[in-house]
Amino acid sequence: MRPVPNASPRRQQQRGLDEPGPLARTGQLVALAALTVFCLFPFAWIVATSLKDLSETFLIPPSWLPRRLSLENFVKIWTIQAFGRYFFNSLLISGATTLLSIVLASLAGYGFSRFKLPGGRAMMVAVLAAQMFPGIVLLIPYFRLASRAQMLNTYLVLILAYTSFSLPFCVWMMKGFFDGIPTELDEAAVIDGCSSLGAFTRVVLPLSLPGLVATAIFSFLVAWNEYLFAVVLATRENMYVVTVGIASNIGQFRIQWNELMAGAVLATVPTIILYSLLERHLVRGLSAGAVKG
Amino acid sequence: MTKKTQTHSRVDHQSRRKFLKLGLAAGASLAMPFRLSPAAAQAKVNLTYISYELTSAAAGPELKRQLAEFEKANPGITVEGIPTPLAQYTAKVVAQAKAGEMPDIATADVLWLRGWIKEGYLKDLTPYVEKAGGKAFLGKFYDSLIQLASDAGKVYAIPSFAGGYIIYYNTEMYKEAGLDPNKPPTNWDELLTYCKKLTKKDASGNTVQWGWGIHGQNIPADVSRFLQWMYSNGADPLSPDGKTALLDQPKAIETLKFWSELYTKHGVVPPGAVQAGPGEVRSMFAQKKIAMLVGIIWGLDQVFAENPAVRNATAIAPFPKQVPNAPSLFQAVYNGMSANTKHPEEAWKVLEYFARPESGLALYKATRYGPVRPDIFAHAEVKNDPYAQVLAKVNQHLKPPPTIPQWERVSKIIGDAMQRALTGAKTPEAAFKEANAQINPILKQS
Amino acid sequence: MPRSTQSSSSPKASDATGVPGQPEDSRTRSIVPSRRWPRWLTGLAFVAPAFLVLGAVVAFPMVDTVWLSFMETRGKDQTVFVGLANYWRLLQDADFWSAFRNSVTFTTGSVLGHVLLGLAVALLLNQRIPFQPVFRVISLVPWMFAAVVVAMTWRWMLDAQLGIINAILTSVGFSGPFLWFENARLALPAIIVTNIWRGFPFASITLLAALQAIPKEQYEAASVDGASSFMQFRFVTLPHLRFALVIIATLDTIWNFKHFDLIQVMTNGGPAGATEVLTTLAYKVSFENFEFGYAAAMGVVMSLVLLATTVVYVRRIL
Repeated sequence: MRPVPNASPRRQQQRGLDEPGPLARTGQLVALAALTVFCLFPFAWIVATSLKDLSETFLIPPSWLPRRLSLENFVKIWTIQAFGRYFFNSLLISGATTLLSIVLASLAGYGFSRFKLPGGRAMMVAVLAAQMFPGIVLLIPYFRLASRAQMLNTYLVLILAYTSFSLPFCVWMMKGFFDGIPTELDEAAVIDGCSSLGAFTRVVLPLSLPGLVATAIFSFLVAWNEYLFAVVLATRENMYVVTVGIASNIGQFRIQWNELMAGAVLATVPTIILYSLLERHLVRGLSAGAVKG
Repeated sequence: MTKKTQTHSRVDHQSRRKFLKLGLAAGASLAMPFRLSPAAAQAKVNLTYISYELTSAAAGPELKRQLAEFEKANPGITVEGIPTPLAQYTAKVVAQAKAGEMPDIATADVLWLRGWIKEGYLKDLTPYVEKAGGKAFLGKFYDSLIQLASDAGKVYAIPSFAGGYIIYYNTEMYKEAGLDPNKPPTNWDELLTYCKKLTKKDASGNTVQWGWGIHGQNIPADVSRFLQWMYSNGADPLSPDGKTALLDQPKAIETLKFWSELYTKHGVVPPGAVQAGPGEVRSMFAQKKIAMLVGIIWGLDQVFAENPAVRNATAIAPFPKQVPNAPSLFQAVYNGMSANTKHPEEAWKVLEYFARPESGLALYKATRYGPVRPDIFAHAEVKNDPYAQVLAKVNQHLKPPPTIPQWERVSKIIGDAMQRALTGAKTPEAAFKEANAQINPILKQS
Repeated sequence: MPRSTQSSSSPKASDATGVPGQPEDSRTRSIVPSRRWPRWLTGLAFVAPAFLVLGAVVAFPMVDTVWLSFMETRGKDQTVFVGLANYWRLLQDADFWSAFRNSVTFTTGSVLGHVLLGLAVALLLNQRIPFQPVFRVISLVPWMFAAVVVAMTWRWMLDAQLGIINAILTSVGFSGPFLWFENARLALPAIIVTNIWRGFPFASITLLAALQAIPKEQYEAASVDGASSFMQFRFVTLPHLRFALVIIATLDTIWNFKHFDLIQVMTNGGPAGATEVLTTLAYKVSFENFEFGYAAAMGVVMSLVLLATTVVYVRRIL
């Protein structure tokens, strides 16, 4: 019996265990409350600090709510630091990285999933191997390569670097998602006269949209939060990204905590927007032939 | 059937080609570097200046203002500041230096200055210094500062700001403890007595106030503060030629013992010393949990910002000297020129501009970063500043940290020993003997 | 790992051979005619772009690093070939082995935490709960922050005097304060917990995806057969999760073994080396001691260890 993919969305939502009894329900709610506290506790602390000024930040004993709410910090990072510029760069670079990763990874994932390649196993491990050197050690050779290619301080060099970070897991994730889509579907398309690429783009890809979305979100986050290569490969301020802007608040002699937290809060906004927009696709795919063994 | 195939493949081809073109166009546009400011006119010399101080809320705007002033006075030169966060600052500059792309001017801290000089990242400034007056020019700065930036008679960097280590103390807490706020401790025994008087318990026996704040993290700022303790005891971590470690000497061990016992034996230091860095200790001082700490003059403003109420109760004093005429260690930040810069003459002009007394005075007023020239302290605007006058006195007798290229590495080993003594993992004697054994092989490497 | 439940009559796509010139036949269901090259070449064409990009970006730096590991720099741009001297030195370096142990501890603790917590959260979110989308976003929040922000926040929250966690613990009655970063035995666990907080969403979202793909019928069939929920979990759920679990474990191991930002900002290896991991050590060796060749050798050893571990993991699913 094979799991039937692509059943109606409502059916998908009913997957999982049956309606729980009262004891289980209480357990559920307790677990949910614990999850919420665990996840949001530091986030609340970050938000609270971003709304305070320095005189209320380091009280002993520590206090949660600011006595005087102030949006000053958000104004400061936007006007004194070039946060707007950083945001633009981050969005551009992360967006392009995500697109490039999705395209390359879905092509490669399809290749690994549908075709028996000579040395295919080794190639899949090789994809991962590209990520095994620690960034700190690769830093100087990377920089030298970018310098020789005259690509320092360009968007492209950062996009390529980030893509190399996210490709390994994107390829593996997409292969997993594709494995869950029965091969009869693309075979039928091929028989109808499609090329392999056509079968891929017309049949398999639309079905794996949710898998694409999940991979896209992860890829975006990896690019969005990268710091080391962002700060080193951007040799002038015009190419700085949000993480560098946030880290600029950590100085040698003092840490501008409130501005740091304000920057951190603002940095989560695009991720939350992206996730909210793509969420519904995730639900469907979270049900239709996702990662499968 | 075949017709369909052909249509399909034609559609495939067309859309594929379109996609390819789009992709190439996008890729090409992204490969172009994007400039924030319009490209400068051809005749101008464009310099780049990388510094983590440009990210500081206080110093950044002031430095940018000075650069703008410089550009006005030198119409053929533009200086682009590259504000870089401190985290991975050295990784970034070193990577650039090794690829031959280091910015023209770079800021270097006391900690890694010698290492950079040894590795050849900074240019020898001697020819330019000679033209500016040679010894007369250098003599305007504090000797110790120049000493640290010199190697084999050549100067590699000009100090930007500096200050000897001092102690902060809370005059109100002194008064409450029955101490004279005008008589801060002048030696270690007095320090201990004061600390004991300033450590208070409440009704249920919990300590609510401590006398001293210890910096126990293994970071350069904290190891420097400990080094200040050593200097005040007449102890040196290394021999003058930098070839032998002297941590196993009695005076060094005595320092570690006294310092750590404030925490482990006398209880005059709040718990958590090992994880306390300058920020944490200053915060505790601002919240009146500790009465005294060792620090730098430009940390005062963070204290005042955290708790405006302590402003009037905060005074500074020279660090208590255990031996007469003990020098003070200083913290300093330098500006140097890249060894590969294509515009050394113009870069020197910038360094010279930063070295003017006017620049130093403006920087002090904006940030409280200590002046690097004694003549600034005589200026009218600074004469009545009590903090500045204390610093002027302290700066008369400064001593640099060891001027070896491996200092960053050695200071980490000392930091480990400090932490072991604080946690009680090892006795001070054992900790320093072990550190000595680890440091000596490193010193053997030239 | 064979694909579950597939009827034997339809050929698997990954096994099919392309035979040129054969007419379309519903019985054999072979691939379209007019193919002048073997099927695997098409597959290669799909895979090639990713490899080209990866190769162009990473290959040269990797080779450069390996080459550098056989050299040593002696200041002022003098690089000397030293053969295997760096590796020999690594074997005898107590700091290296201590950092290696810490790296392994950190990685094991983090991966276990991520997988177990991720699985628990995924199982929770897979049930019928109110406001499911809201809780999904909530469970993704920790992953939204840069490592620097997480490190600074948690370092502050765990501070002895200024931290909120100690304040809460003491107000609840524990005798504090807890010196998370002073006690060598508490420091690494504190960092691991921070890292678990930060990284579990990757595991939970991926496992949730896998869980929702498990057909309900299998659970129904199992409960009809009299299986308890624990047995259902063991015999229905887990087998379906195997691929996802192995992928998550593999990727997570790689990421955590070479993680740098979080640890450097939180403790920078202290107290006294108790939290020094291979990456922070490599950083110090490179940028404080300027021994780039030695650091490169460390990097090579790290990647070999990761390679070996990966091969062991993925053998089960490839």
